[in-house]
Amino acid sequence: MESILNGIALGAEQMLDPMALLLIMLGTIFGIVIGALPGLTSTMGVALLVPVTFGMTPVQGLSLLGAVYCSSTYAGAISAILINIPGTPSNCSTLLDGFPMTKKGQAGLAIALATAASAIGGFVSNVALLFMAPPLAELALRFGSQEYFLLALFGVSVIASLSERNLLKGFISGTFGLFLAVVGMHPMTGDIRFAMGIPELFNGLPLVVALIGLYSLPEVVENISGTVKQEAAVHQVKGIFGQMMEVLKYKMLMFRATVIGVIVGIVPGAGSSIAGFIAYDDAKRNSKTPETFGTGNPEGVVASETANNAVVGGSLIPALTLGIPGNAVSAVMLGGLMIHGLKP
Amino acid sequence: MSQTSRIRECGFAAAMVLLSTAFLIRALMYPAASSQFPRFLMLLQLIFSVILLVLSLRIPQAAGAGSFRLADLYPPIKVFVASSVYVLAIGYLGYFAATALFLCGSMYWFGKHGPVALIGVAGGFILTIYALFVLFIGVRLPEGLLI
Repeated sequence: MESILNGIALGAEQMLDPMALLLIMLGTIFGIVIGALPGLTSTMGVALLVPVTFGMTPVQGLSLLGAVYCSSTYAGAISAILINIPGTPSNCSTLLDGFPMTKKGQAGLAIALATAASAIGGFVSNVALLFMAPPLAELALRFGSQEYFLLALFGVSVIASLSERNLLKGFISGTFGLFLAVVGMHPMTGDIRFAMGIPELFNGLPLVVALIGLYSLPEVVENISGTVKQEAAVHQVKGIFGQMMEVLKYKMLMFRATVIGVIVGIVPGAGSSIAGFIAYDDAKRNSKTPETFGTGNPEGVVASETANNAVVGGSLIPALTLGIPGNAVSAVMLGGLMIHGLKP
Repeated sequence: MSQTSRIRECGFAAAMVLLSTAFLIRALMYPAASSQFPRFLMLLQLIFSVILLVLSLRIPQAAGAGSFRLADLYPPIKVFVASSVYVLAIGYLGYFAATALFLCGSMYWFGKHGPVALIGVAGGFILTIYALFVLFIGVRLPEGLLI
């Protein structure tokens, strides 16, 4: 414990470097732009800036990369809430209640809750990274084939909760979604499946492209049909800072979502989108008004955003202690850290 | 359930039955070692789709319910046609020219007729994309036959 506290004190001292603080600010702005633009992911943002950090000191480089990682994960919620298109795959579960809140004229409240929940989820997961990294990394190492299978099965079972109004359609969507994942080359035999001769599909369907198509095209169709008065709703984004304290109404929800986010984060291979959906499902099952989920319930936004930001700290735990990245972004981050001389 | 909803439900279920059958047949053509999972998934989806189709056909239509209008299909067709024209135009005009035309056309369609708004938004968007992708990231965006 003493060595951890000494490390924190040393790190805090180095963080007072004005250049590092400036880079954190610039990285946060860059991350927000990358995250809010559908199609540009956190992985892309961090990967883009790794070469930029070559000429910096380790503290400055790590400050910049960390700021981009955290802020881009949060910023995907902005487009998810305002235009129903997730900025990054992590924010898919946020739009389930975020966009209905916008349609109800509560876009400001939704963004305020997403911002505050993201900050709290990210902060608590980083505290976990500081104090509980070794035991949590050991837990991650215990994950074998059976545990991964159960985690995947649990992820699929969330469909039942999300589509309780029409379970049959939920199962059809679930099986079709799993089927889309098999398009492309078989990982063991190398056979190309369902690519229809299109070379771009040989490596499978690109997740980000598929997400943009799936979420944005229905929105465009609805806009053309004239069934959405989005302009009026988006104009009501105001009073965000004043509404951030509303998040304190959901303390227990944030606690559960943070635990989910950290645990999912430390498991190599599981990403923040899974954490968001599991936390959303948990929030719905524990809510006093589960029937309002999907119609603009703030609990859905808080749970989803807390969990996907809690993954940030969680995913860095196995990366920094064992050299096994929790997800794609932490893999790129790990590369950047190693360039700066940090060896797990 | 209104007639429109009923036709939608039945149409969706029938489309999924056809799609599942087509993909199941396709999966059976691949070597067994590479297609066990797709075969299982498509069989499962076919069963769910058939159940959904049967249930949709058995739901009685409510008295006085609205009728299905062909005009309901226009918005998705418009989006599909516009997107297809845009993708094809990229091959001939290049990404930037096609995107500028697509943005101006879309805004005009949605009721923004002011030249300042049309040129401002399209120009601003193109400049941002150029600065971010071409100058900063160094990505070559698609070039067409003309540009």
